[in-house]
Amino acid sequence: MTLEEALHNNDMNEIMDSMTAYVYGRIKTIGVKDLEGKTPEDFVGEVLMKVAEGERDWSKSKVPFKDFLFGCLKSHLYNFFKSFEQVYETELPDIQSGTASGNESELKHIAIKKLKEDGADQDEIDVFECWIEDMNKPAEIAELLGKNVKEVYNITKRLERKMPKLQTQIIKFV
Amino acid sequence: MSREIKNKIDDALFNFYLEADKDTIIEFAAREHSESCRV
Repeated sequence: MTLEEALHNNDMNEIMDSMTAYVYGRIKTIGVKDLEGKTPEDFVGEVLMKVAEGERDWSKSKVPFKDFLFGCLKSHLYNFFKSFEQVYETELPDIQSGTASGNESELKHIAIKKLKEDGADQDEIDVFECWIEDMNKPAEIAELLGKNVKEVYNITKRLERKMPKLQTQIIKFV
Repeated sequence: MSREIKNKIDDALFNFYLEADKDTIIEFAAREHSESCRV
């Protein structure tokens, strides 16, 4: 499918709304306030421009168009936020070298304890545990937990708000 | 937070936005707007 066909066959307004929402979510999760004058919509526009100009080559992609655009956006945001994360990572040199005293299992338990202290309910804890166990598709999580997908979306949104604080708290325990 | 756990959280939130339907995104956008107005 050519780029023109992909643009024609997809609801681009819907995709751009989803992409913009993702950028808002990432900003909130990372806890960055200074976007160097950019808005979340700017990041989406930059990605679409890269695709339109061929810097990101849709013709070589093997995934649906929406997944391709989201992948480009994830990479674009990663590159932008890298400078912020490098500062963050310097606070965790022992983790990077693999000599941290806290292993992943310990960190998981600490994270759950901190989430509970921050007011997380059992639904949020269950979803968080799914994530740590590499189950990250909302539909799969919904099926495992016997909930509908909409409920999982709402739980995820509540959890997302707790992530910046959780990251800060976990740093103190490693 | 270890890089691995952080990546797992990032992946879950990525899939959340990728797979959320139109109504869900609109609902969340409205909630974001409402929260930002309160601030």
